[in-house]
Amino acid sequence: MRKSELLVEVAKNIGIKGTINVPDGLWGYGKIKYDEGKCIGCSKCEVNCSEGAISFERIFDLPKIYEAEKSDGSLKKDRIVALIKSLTLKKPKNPINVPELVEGYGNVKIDLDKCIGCGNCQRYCTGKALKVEKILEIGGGN
Amino acid sequence: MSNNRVQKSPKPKIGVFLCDCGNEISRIINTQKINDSLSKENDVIVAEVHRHLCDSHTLKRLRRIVIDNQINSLVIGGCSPQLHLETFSKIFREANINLIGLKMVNIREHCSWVHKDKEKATDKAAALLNGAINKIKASKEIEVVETKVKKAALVIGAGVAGTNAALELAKKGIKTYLVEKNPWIGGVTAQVGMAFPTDDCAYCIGARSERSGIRKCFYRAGLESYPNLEIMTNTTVKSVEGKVGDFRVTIEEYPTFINEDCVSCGICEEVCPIEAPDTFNRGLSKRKAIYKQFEAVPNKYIIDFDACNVCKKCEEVCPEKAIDFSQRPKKHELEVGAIVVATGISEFDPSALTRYGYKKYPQVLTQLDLGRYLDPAGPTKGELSFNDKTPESIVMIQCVGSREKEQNSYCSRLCCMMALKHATLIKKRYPNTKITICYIDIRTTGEGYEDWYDRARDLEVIFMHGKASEVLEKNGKLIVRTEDVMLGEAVELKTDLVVLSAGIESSQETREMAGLLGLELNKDNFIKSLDPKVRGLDTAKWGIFICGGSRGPTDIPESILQANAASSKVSSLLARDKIVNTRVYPIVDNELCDGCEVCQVKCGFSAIEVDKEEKKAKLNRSSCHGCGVCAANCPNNAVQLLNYEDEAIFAEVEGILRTNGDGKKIVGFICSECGYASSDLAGVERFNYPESIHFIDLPCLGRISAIHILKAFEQGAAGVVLVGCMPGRCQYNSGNSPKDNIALAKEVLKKVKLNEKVKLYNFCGAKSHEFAKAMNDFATIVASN
Repeated sequence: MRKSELLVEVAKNIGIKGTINVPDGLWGYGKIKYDEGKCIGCSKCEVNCSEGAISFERIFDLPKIYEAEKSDGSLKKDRIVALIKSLTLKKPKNPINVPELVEGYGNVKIDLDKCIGCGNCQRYCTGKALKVEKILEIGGGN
Repeated sequence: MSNNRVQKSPKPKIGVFLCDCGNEISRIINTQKINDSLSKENDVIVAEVHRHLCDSHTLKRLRRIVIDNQINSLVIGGCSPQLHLETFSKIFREANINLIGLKMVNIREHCSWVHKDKEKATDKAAALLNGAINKIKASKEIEVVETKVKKAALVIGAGVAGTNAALELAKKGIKTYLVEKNPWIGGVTAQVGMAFPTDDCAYCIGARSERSGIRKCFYRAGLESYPNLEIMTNTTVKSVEGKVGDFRVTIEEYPTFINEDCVSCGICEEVCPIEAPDTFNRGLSKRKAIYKQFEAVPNKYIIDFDACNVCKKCEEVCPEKAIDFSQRPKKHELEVGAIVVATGISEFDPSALTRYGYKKYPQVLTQLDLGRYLDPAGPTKGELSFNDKTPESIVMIQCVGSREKEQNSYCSRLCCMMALKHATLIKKRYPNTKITICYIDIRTTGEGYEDWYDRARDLEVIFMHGKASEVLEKNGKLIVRTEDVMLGEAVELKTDLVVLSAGIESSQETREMAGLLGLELNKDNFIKSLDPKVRGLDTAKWGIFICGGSRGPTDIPESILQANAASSKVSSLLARDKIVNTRVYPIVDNELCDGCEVCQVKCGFSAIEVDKEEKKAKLNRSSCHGCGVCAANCPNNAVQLLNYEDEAIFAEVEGILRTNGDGKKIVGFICSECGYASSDLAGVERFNYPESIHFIDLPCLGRISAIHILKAFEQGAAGVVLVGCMPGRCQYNSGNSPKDNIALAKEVLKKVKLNEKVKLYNFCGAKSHEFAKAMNDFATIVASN
């Protein structure tokens, strides 16, 4: 049994319900959260996820990035968005398939059932796009 | 080995022995009553009460009973395990009896000495013993590892510390390899010229023969022919594998392109057309591409291949046919039992601070540069002369790159003395040269050090209190902008020469070697010692020691003291034939481990790391200190600390709380180090606290996960108290792990308003009164609603 599952079980036994804030320094008690706007598409997370919970897709979700507010615009994909905006082109409607050999774009899909919140993807993430949300659900209402 | 599932231990056959300790225990605790009830417990084969378990007759009798009844686990109720666990372990070890479990329950310091109510104290002692019996049934056996010790040592770095350490080891009859990157030995010491506090040259070493004096120059000490000592210059360490007692080291020797036939006649040097910066003189002078270095070992010529144009004129003229361009780097393997890292210091490069004009104006030097100028082997043959002129005035600026948040915040310790030494030397030789030292504080702490300050004052060296801000050039003269704190005004000092007392940093080699050996650096970027107070020469890696500049800015006398001490550490390790590792350690269940690296992140000793290919955590037992922080944080519960497995801790909690009729029992988790000492000494001082507090000892509070705390509440505990070492003094580098886990447990318990009933305290032995007060306070909090 995973530690988080064991904790939930014991917590339930002492009559606890609801959502628990997990201290920052602890791993293994939350689920990963993905910020598309910060992802640079390096796919290190997929390689380093020990649980096989992350799959890297070669899809550039242009409409989503177009919407994402990002100030520094340092990423390749931001520059494309900036270019589109500066050319006052219409807002793109569809994601784009990223051709092989083109790096720096792409998307991450997360299977939250598999995620154990160990934070390994977060530690390896180049763009700080992945972060374990330090929240544990005990369940059973509030 | 440690990655396999450990086999379920054989069926426990438990012996329980209670000690009355004269009547120190039985005065309060009814040991006979407890004994009667424990003897009826499952798996308890023998239960007895003795007046003194620790006397030699009883110990022998105890062993006899264990043998006769084939007892494999022992629970002893008596005094503190910190006092006598070893006494009991020893009698079995000596008879080669392997017990699966041996647990001492502290019914003296934790019971009879701190409680007054006989009935309650007896109940508490019984509960603790129940817990121990439960725990011992649930825990698994530790595998003891023995390593045969290689009777050889490696010393890395042949500066003053390394050379002294190696020499001392060789004197003890230990085969010692002294590896040095440079072609010469002596390191920075060989470059500084004169030394403080002795006012003589820097490079001497304890003499080889007691008959002739007490010290010798490096070159007169016969180091090259010293028995057991092998000096390998031009050599670097490439890899280190293995563990304490049995390291395998790969070293690489760079070619000198000169063979052993060289007789140092120097004809080659005359014909060599290439000039290169003389690194020994810190680039302040030039030498040929083929050269012989001062203090070179072996005492022969060498070719600087980076500078050489391979014209081979040297080869043509060499009468001894000693030049050999076919030489290539050579790798060797060494087998050693211990390693000393003495890779030394380097001077802070002040060119980073452009305001001081170093490397911009040629007349701005550092103290080490000045040391070279004052040395007869230096660029001006010891004359302080620039463009044939002796400077009429010199300004020295202290704390350049030291005690500055932006560079190094620590005091470099050597620079005040270097400034005083150089100011004194110059004043003696050039009395008309005006010397001003701009300082923040002058620090002269050491035998005979303050004399240098007095001497400099007597020689009319000017001390100006204030930090110099800038060095400029105006009309061919240097200007130092500083403040005179005494007068409270800004001043400009015109001068011919500026000497920057640049701070001391760890050398690049020190940092590289730390990386190669997997040693952590401290906040000042030197190699971190195992403990700054009591294990200053040990590192987190067992069998690897540090001395001299690799562990901090260190002057010559202190480097030598540390070197001698480190050699003693090594020799006491190598004096053993085998090293027996009996520490508790974690095991990894390969079926559960996915290789998520949380254990690796949490381990304070890099003892557990994930194999990237296998995706499994692997333990290096010799680096492991057995705190269990890995087990406490493994998300998949794949890591368990032997003897302190989750099941064992739960079982002990359950055993203690089995007789919790009134629901008032408090479970305490206490580390076996400083935290435990505070509780022991509270007993010794007979400080009272409530009988409701029941301690479970762990190697370190790092072993605690939030679940252990919650489990105690699930089993009916009224509160959970945790006692650990003082903040920042955890012996296991388990960091914030206990705090975070306690915080999580409290977050959970907040929902049912029990969060105030969990509390962490940090104590050491000298805080036993605070411990007792805290226990009373906590029991009051728990009792209130």
